[in-house]
Amino acid sequence: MQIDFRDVLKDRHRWALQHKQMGGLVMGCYSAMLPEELMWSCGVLPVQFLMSPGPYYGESLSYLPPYVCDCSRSMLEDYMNGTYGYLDGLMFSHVCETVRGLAGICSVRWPDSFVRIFTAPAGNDPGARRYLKAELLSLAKELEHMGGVALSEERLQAAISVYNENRGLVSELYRVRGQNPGAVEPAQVLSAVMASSIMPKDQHNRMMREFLKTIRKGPDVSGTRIILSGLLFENEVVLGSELFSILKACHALVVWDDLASGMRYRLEPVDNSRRVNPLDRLTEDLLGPQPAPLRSPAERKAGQMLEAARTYGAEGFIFLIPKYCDPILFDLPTLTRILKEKDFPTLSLEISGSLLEGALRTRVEAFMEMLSASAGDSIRA
Amino acid sequence: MNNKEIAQVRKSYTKGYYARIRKAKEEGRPVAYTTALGPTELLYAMGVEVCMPENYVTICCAKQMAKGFCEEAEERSISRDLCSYARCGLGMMYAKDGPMGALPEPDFIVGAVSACDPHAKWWELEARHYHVPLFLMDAPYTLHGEVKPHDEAWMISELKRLAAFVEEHTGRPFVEEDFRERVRLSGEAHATFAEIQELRKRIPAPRGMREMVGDLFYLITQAGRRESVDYYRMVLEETRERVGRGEGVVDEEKIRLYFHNIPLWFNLQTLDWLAAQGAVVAMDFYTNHVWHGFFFDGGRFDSGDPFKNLARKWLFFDNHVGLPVKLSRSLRSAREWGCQGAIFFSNRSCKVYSIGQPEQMRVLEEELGIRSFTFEAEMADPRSFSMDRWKERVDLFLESLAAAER
Repeated sequence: MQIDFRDVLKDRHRWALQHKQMGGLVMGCYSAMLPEELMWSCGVLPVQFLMSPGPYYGESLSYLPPYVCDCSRSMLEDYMNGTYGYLDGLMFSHVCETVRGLAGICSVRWPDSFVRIFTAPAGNDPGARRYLKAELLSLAKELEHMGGVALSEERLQAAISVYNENRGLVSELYRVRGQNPGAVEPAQVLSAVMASSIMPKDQHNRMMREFLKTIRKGPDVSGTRIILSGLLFENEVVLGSELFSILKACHALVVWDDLASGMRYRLEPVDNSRRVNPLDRLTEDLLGPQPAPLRSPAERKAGQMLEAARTYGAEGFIFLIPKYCDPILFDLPTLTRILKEKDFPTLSLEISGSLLEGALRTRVEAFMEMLSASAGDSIRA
Repeated sequence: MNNKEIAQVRKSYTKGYYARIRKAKEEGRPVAYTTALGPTELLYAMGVEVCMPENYVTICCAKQMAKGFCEEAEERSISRDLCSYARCGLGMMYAKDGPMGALPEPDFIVGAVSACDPHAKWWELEARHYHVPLFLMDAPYTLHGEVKPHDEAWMISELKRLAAFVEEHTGRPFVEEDFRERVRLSGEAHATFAEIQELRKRIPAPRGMREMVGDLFYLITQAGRRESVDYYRMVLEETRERVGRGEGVVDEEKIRLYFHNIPLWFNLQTLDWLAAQGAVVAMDFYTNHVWHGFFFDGGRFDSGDPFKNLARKWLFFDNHVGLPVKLSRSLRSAREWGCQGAIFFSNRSCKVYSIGQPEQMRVLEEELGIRSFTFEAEMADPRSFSMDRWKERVDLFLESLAAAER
């Protein structure tokens, strides 16, 4: 049976509820760079919040100022309205200042709930390493205290292995898509990664293996190859973003992405050498520099984007910038400058709420026409 | 010495401070740009002159030059949604200008990825522009203010890592005795500052936020130097004398307020206007919770280990603690300083201090019966603020407080 990951996302809570029915715990997670392997090894299923762009934010409006991103609003709204009522706790990844504020609001609003901020250091020095390892051990104790399984080397090793397999399968998906973008729709690729973040990895691995069989021999298509960067709201992907239909109409082929729920979802494997303690390996993997723009210099990201462009023959970049996302906004001038210096045109689209078709179409069409004509300039919308 | 004379001392010292930075550059001594968090104690101990573009932005604002520099940055694709400190600072960098001319170029930069998003990324842009090494301080974030041994150990390790970085890039060795003395002086300055803050509990308040935000200059830029201790002793003496005379900083104190967030640097006259209405800001978040948080919470530099002391100061910056701690600090501030109302400035340039304000307002009302007024603006961009409209709304708020008191 053909796997459609968008259908998986439409039933997004099913996997978490099944895990609970089997006696497991479920942790609501906000953003990447969280020790999901450790949580899983302790019997806790990490489930990433999937974001909707609104505009139907109700109660959360009185808690957050107007100048924060839609991601944080969506998370708070869904938590407040009970959509995620089954969660046993919340874990926030320290990827920006808004996330910290959000964690604070949740810890005050629900003082009896398990709410934590996890900081994966930006550096990679001995002090950061010692801190992170101690923090992981402290977290494991807390998870055990809330009803999880005690941390053990064997369980952690097993969790790392299944997560690494998942990363390998997703990376393979990216590779196949990059080499032959006609083999799979961009929405399916993103849906596949998002689906991975809401279900046990071993189940996702089974789905991925089946999915990859169906797409390896995709049709050859011609078009202009582009890379997407930034953030695309999950609901946009599931319900069918106007962006993808416009890109298709313009014969744009997405060959790679650097989206928050795409390649930035920690796809580098944990070193699985059996000579080193798995906790030490996980610690090493979580240390900086990291995919999140706050904890990584813009040049590093530019380097990764250029490498992907060279590998997959990309001709231009489209940045999807969530309004009020400071880390991305600070990086954008540097990224576009570096890409332009290497003759890659860029288009920057500020997104707030749903991507409006009319405004989007004009800008994207103009950009794609320019790419086709190989003008080499950057457009900011 | 009276308040006006103290203000003159400070003004003169501030000019001298910027002249000192220029002199250091001319004489080939290392100059570091840092965020407002420093750590000045460590850098001064190693013979590095500390320059804080953020402080320069406040002078820019006072001289009504911020708008131009913000626009300069925006013309170079720095988003208007970003922090106005960063936009103004970057604008000065691009324009090679400032309220007292351009700042000397740095030899290295110390950012702080833990403090806020701009304090990580703004400094990346500056380091790239000047082609100088960048050191990013990191730190734990303690949601409930519970510092675990490994949190403190990492903070100490970060300070030592910075010392090694400075040695590497300046050739100047780290000498523990020099550092110990700088931290001791910083502790003494903070302890004296805490005494001044305590005196603001008196009725009438002998010193208000207007005066304290000027005083804060020493704690931010000169912590670790003898001058900061001398200045605060002078202020403490003047404040005690006022208390002895029963003299408030406001002619006729009618209402005591708690102010939350950074002041409007381009319009400190908002505080003067409040004073003219008989409303004194007897207590404020900015001069108590940000740099001074550890001391406000009752901490002192008493561990005997300068690294441990400085680490604790860093761990309890307001930027590094979560809303539960911020709530309890605001509650204590309003309660112990006898505040009858609160002004919460919702600062579009600072999510760190602004997110969570509704919870703080709610708690002040529920637990202390204190009502709050809130307004939205940016601390270093005047384009988002209307003084007339602000006065109208605050006037109504003050009337409602006065009516409640009757």
